[in-house]
Amino acid sequence: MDRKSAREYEDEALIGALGRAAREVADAAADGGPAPAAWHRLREARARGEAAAPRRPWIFVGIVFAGAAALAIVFGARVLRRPVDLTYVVSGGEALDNGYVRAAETVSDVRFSDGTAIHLERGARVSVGAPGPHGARVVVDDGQAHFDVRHLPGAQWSVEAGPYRVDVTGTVFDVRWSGADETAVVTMFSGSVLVSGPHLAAPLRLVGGQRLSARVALGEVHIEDTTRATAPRATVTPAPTPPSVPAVVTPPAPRLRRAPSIDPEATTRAHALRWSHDVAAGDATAVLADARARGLDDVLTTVDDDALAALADAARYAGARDVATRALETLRRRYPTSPRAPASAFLLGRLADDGGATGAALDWYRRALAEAPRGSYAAEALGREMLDIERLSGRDAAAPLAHDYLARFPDGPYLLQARAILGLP
Amino acid sequence: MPVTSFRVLGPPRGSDAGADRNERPANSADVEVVLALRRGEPSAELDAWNRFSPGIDAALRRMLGPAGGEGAEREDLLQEVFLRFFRRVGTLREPAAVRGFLTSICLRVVQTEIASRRRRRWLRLTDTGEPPEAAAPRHDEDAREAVARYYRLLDTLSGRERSLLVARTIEGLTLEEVAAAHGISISTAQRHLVRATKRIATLVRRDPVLVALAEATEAETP
Repeated sequence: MDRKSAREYEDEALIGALGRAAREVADAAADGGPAPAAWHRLREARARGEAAAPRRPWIFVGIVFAGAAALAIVFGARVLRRPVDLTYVVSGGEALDNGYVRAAETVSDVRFSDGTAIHLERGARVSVGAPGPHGARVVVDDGQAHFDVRHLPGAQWSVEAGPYRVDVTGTVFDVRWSGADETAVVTMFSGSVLVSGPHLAAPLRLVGGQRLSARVALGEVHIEDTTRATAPRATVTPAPTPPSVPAVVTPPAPRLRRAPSIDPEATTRAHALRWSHDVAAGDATAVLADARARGLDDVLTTVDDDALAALADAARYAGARDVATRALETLRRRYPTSPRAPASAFLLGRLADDGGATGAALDWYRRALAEAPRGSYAAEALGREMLDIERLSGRDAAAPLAHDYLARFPDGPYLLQARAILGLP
Repeated sequence: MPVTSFRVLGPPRGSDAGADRNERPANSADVEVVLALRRGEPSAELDAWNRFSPGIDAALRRMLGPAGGEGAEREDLLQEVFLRFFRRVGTLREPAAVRGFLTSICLRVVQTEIASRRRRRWLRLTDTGEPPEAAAPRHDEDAREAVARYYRLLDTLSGRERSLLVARTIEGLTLEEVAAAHGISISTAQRHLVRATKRIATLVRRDPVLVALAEATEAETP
């Protein structure tokens, strides 16, 4: 290894000292971070899908194009001999920069030059990474996408759904991801894929006719055979630790939907799973219709807290505030010690807020905060309480809450509003 | 219908329990923000902004220097950093490494900006179209002006060498972090750094103001 000369040590010391001086000057000029308006400008740029980079003079655009053209001529022949990266076109949806594709109100398709196609369900969002000659990396950001991947030599496709990764060579399958409840579902129609991610000890091979459902937050992974019986899904006794490759458990004989032998607990669990999936897929009205068809009073007294939460979500999304309120109140009454109870209080507050009942909303927000001061909705509950008080009684009345907010949640989502109430930059 | 179901009770496999002890400890709140961004949660971008923008803003100020990192221009770059971050957060393999990821984006954005400013100077002499100020060093310049002179010397380096030297000596990254942020090997980073250090040191020694600043800083360093 080369040894440094004395001069090199001196150089390093000199530059090091100037680096420290530069750092000190920069830190001394610190002005409390970016102004709140900077965030709003960023949001606007995001909404427009624009880059905020400084504008470049047109002359440089010309220079760049001229240079690119010259390079294309010089290296064109070489480029033509190299494998060509796949290209794709988007139909029926919105293709933003950097491969981001958002499905339209109907359905959308992304078609690649090798014949591979992705069919996006309504409202789904995917990001297509830079395609190579043999495939691309596709991230299902939200919703459901149907993949028909061409089985070509050397095909290299990967699909990501939340923390799960699906490695593909050629097959037909659906992938659904819901960030709202952290649920990933991979449904196979033909071929095979390898799925890896949380709670899978090793990459798991799925073949046609199988479906993997993973609920990340609950640490649950289900694999089922979609080609067999049509009875409602049930939950097998959980194993204490995951097998390295989960084996498909031999099922009991298929059971009819309302057979007396059905375990009520398994039935309510099935409700929860199906409703959660349907809500995640954006089919809130189906959940609501199902609950009403079964009798809302009956449902509210029999299903478990997961199903109640899913029903409440579905009702909120479908605009059925009365059903959502009943589901959340029932959840709090039947499961008062569940972690969902304070979350339900917050959601009841939002429902009241949306209905113009600010007083009731404040009461629910305060309950949510009292029951879970550091809960997942605490920052939002305090933030909304602060804004309600500001709206009702003015900025001065909200100032103590704003102080409290900044002290308790310095990185919270209502930071800017709290600073604005206090007149901080 | 056949169903396999299990609940994982222990910690997830492949956790970072035995990770390199030289790495900075994973910040669980950072990880939460990244995961929320990936899930597309409505408040995730604001959370990320609140959490990371002050640090990135400060880093931009350090990377650009007193004369180049003020006001609206810095905010433009801050926005560019976050726009790129939001687009690329899905490519971040290890959510706990989000700050390094952001620093890497920051360095690239600054490198692009410096190159752009250099082109503007080439075309129009200066950003304002005025001739460059006469290089008449004043020995009574305060530290800020002296540091601005230092940044002008740094701007004579190539884009990559400037970025490497700033990351190493002003941002204070380790050599490994500098290399990773620039997507090059440690040996390549080291080679460029040695060359850049030598060149800038030579220029600094010709400037009594900068030599005095270095000596004063050295004397104040405990």
